[in-house]
Amino acid sequence: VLVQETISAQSADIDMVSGATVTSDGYVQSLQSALDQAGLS
Amino acid sequence: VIRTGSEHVMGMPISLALRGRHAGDAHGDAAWAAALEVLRAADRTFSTYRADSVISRMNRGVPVDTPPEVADVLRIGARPERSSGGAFALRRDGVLDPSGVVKGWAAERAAVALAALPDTDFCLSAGGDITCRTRDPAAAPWRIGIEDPRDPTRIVAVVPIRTGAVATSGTATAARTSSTPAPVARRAASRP
Repeated sequence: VLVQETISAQSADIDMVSGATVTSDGYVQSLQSALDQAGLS
Repeated sequence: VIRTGSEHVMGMPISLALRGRHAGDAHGDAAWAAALEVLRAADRTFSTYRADSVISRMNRGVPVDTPPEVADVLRIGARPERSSGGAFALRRDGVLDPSGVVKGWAAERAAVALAALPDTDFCLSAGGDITCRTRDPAAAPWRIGIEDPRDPTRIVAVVPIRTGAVATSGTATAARTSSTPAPVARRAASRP
């Protein structure tokens, strides 16, 4: 079920990100931020 | 998939994606607003960063009528506290901090407004605690990327999920919101 190798968000076509750095402090550099920007702009 | 919004509540980013009938319309936007209000209410009650929250007042020893939500969260947290052998705790050095429970608990409650949208699927992230719903069991699942704890610009796995929840824990930068000490957290992050 899981894709085990490290992959980039772009190639993985993901909807959301879960991870340790998903706080407001770390958000600006996060993949989730990139996803949100791509979808809202 | 319509990315309905992204806001910051409780010191964490809240993101919502919708697909289906109400993705991108006024009903979808209203449900998003309602979900955010649930999270803001949870913040007002539980935040350890707000002097006027119920939790902060309890920590100062001020007599408070414990709201049912607080009793709820403390009851939920008591179970992993017992079963984790001390890895998870609602109190640290005697100070009550149920943040590790509140995040997922609040996300689940916030999702109620989204679940009421007819013919609409949602995927809600509250600081990486994700809850999603898919109406059609044959539809494509939501795809949740699990961040690489060593390099947050990459993901180590993709969890496909139609209806359910995904949460991760770690210490990379989330120490202030996590009650889970490092050994358990790292294991969880490396094996989502």
